[in-house]
Amino acid sequence: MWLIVFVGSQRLLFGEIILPQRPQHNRPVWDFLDYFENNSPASVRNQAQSYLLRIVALTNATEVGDGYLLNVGTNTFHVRDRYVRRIRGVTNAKSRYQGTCFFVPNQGMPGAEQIATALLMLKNDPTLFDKWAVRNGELFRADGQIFN
Amino acid sequence: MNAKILTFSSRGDTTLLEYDPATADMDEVNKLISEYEARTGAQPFDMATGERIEKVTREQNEVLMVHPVAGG
Repeated sequence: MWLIVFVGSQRLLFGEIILPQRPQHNRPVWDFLDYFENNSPASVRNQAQSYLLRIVALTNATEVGDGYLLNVGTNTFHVRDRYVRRIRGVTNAKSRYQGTCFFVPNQGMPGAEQIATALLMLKNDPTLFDKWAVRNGELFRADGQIFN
Repeated sequence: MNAKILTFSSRGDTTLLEYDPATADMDEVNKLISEYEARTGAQPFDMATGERIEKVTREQNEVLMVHPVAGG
């Protein structure tokens, strides 16, 4: 709901920013069908997979059987759906963990986008792995700070 | 071509903001990003490089707001 306010308020503030718009038709039945086609589970899955592939390329990750290998400095992470394992790297003195679950509390985000989020975050700050492992359940922003 | 600020969502993605980078007031764009960040904890990444950015410039045409992650 607030997103609508966020985007909507923008139009009032300055003219350059525009609302994302869909093509206007005079055929509401087709709009109705378009809506369901664009938001169908298969369409959302394809879109999420496409983002994941882009982020795999950007982070130079490598697809392996059930996940992705990500090299960051001296660390190698194996990232898969809601679980990341450090298979090479310096073990932080505060963390004896070599694996941790992770989650993005954004309701309904597809699994592929959760993996993409973890790849982006770890590529930019590999110390997040230890934070996720040690500070169970606490939310960390991409800059490593806790978000309350 | 318009620039986009977007985020992952249950619909695949959601466009939060769309603007013409040639004419938009970038201070206003960054102000809105800061407000979104304060509210959700999401931070901007340049989708051309995969790097986190402090401020959006006219050169970026696709910025992804990445939400916080928790271990569990």
